[in-house]
Amino acid sequence: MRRSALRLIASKEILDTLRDRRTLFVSLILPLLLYPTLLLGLTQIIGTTQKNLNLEHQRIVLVGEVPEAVLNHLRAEKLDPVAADTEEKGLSKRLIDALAEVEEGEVPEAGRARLRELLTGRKLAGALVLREGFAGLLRLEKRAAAVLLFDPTDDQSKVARAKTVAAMRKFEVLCRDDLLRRYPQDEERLRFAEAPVAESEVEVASSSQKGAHSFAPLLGMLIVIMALTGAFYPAVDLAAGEKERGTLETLLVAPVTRTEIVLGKFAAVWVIAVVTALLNLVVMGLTFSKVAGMIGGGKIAFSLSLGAAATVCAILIPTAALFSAVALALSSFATSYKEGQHYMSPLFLVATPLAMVGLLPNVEIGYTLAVVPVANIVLLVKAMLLGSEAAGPALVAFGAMVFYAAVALGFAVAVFRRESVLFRTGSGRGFDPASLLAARQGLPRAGQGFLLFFVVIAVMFFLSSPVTTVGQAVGAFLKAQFVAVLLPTFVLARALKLDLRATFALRRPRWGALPPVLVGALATLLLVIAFQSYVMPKPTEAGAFEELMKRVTELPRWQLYLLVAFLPPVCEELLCRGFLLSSFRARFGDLQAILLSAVLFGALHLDLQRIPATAIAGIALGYVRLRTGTIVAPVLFHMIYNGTLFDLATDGYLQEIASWFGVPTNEMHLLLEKPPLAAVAAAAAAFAGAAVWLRLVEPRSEVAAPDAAAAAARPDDAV
Amino acid sequence: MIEADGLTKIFFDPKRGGEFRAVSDVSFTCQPGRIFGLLGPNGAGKTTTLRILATSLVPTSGRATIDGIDVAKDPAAARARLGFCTGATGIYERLTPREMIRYFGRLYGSPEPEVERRIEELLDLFALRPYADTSCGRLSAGNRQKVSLARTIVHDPPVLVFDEPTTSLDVLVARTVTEFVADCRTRKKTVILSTHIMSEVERLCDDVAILHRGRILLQGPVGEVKERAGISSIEDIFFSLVREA
Repeated sequence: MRRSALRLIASKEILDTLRDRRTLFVSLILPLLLYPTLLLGLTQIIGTTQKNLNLEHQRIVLVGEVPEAVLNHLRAEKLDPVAADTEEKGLSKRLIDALAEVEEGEVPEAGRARLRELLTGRKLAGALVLREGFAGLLRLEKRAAAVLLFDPTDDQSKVARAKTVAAMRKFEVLCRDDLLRRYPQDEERLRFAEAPVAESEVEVASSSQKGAHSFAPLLGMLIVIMALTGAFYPAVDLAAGEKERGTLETLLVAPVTRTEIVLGKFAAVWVIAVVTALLNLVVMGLTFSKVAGMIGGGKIAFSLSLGAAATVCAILIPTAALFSAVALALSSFATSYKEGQHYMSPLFLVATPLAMVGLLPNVEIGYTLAVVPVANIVLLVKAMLLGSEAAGPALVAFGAMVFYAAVALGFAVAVFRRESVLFRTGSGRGFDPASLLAARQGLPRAGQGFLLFFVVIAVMFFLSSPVTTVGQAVGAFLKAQFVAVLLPTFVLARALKLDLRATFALRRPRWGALPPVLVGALATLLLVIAFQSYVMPKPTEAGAFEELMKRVTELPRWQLYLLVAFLPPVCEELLCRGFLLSSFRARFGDLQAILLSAVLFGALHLDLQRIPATAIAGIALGYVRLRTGTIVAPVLFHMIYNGTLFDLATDGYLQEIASWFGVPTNEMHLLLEKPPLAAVAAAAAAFAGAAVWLRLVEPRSEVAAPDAAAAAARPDDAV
Repeated sequence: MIEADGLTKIFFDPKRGGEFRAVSDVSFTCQPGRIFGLLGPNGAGKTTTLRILATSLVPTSGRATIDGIDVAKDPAAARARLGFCTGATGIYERLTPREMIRYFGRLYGSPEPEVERRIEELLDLFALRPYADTSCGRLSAGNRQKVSLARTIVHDPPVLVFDEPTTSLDVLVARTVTEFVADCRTRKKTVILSTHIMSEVERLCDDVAILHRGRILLQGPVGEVKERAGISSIEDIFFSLVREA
């Protein structure tokens, strides 16, 4: 073997791979662009659900004579302790009887199941059993016994356990401090004071419940992976493979419509995906139960009841439909089987972190997570196997999956109608990332709009850091606006050699358009505040903006207004109503472009809960931009909006002006927190009035509006 | 009959600096019982023109009809009257010739007994009977092309479109194809054939249009075209035209 030959071949292969732009794009650039957006979204969704669990109150039952101090500590930990005697008669006796059975160690299985039944049947998250003479023993400086009953397979119960343990720890500290104060020198007493309570814990879950708990998240992941791979390979074969073998053109000249072709192929992929996934799961299930028996030594068992198996199948069917549709749509882009496989990576890239959600502790399916694709599947499987109550979210999840599948299928049909995609045969053709860097008629293309959006989010993500001082808050603000928003927008616009005037609508506004813009901005602000206070509660998440609000006194006022009311309107409008809106118009049409840019504008604020409210403002901004034909109008709108909001929130000039007219401070605050319905109605009327006004002032929309229909008829890429 | 009137197709190709006219104002008529040849080098716009006729592509402007049916307005009806075959047309390798013909027969909506009758007929016509139940992937190149031809005429279309049907075939298989094309004329079909092989035009076609960079440079009956150009071979005519263009 010659080393020179080896090196020669290796270096040529590396060069060859690096020149395959598709591989580079998919394996390097795409994750870089997608992961920040994906992770930000996920952590926020999970953050809200997890937080809720710790803030929620769990009910636990207390058995025995409970000192007041223990009770107080339990309450302080956000637990709802109820005495067994106030419950149904005899609960405490039955609990103690069942407990005795467990502790004797002979019949753990049945005893545990009975305990669990006793607890879950009464919606109790756990039980704290204080043995006879608990308080008396402590008084006599004798170790007293407490038994904690909880269910390790139930998230609420686990939280309740942690809280109870914390409360007991605090109670012990209290006892010790008391002893220390009274007898500071007594060695023997101090030894006792280290641990005055002998705590023990009993897990009430039966072995099959524990088994289900260990394997449920894994099973959900497996269903996702099986359905994904089960769908993907046939989809690539039926779409890209057919193109590669030259049979697609034959099929296209037969008198069948493209919708029929796509739906036929989809049905086939779906059936194949369901069948392969089911077969895989059966084999996997058998393996699981065998492995569980081997490693658990009888303590963990895994068996799927008929009902649970039926549920898994029921979940698998829409899951497979979703993946089949997505895989078909993606692989229709490819010209060859090999290229089709490239598109598998982005799909896995997105699906994997979503599926991981199921593995996280304390995450349960709720209405929010039910609409997150893939995550909802994993969590639903987990909930079903653990026997949790989740009928409502399950329905929502099914609906969401059907909806996503329908959207993906619509997308696949659209792809099949595009000539440029269907006939993109031949050597090395197909999706070329370089095409993302080619402009058309001086305006950006839709793909470039999305590219810019993900770049901005990624830059924001990598720039973000915790904010504690006012200097950091100002720095974060400047960085976000200049480096994350303005810089990429400008660089991409220059790199694409765009017509800057057309792209950013750099035109002079007409004076007549300014009054309705002003009225519209104020009306929109009040409507958005009303939306947040009545429809969707405003989140309390702390960001740079909130930090600035808290520290307004530390900076001169004019600087604050510059930072909040001047800078973001200019930068964000150039991005959203400039680049993004222009890029989406030719492809999607005006209305869709406004909606899409509004949602992305909402997403730009990196807070999921804020998206709806921000998007409402974004729609108004998009309308103003297209109606007036100039970026100046939405910039002005945005400045008035931000300025007024900031001023109101920090008791600024408006407060002062209001006080001249004798309006009390708290009424101005009310406007921000819970605006009176009369004011909201007035704002709605003003909003509608401003829209009509604008229509009268600017009877036509922008002159150089690209015709969406004509653009749609024009294929995007070469054949 | 095929009538094309001012067909134009514009693509967007960033690599070619934006808009690219693949076909520009192309008009011609193909009569039944005659073979119309579309001659031009690679990239002249032959395939794009034929794909417009086959309704796979929608023309940017202009109009094409097949037996009076506008391909843009009623593509399904136009496709039903059309047989389309290219040199690169693939066949499903995991199906047998019989299954392949049956699949397309059904796609064209023929009644079941008619499909079965047609299968037998085509198997005999192309001498495919011995291989009828072997998967297509295991057939020789010649037999695969025969399956492809059988598939093209499974619905007995009055109009046939051949896009470079002999490219990438060896001489023996190419012979089968050209014989089949000639046979279509005797059966009074309307035939349009694109090729970059000059001799094929001389041997097969009644009419010819010379296509270069999306435009027709010269068209008419083969004899007339030769006469008009004052040159005896199509190849010489082609080169003199291309040089001028």
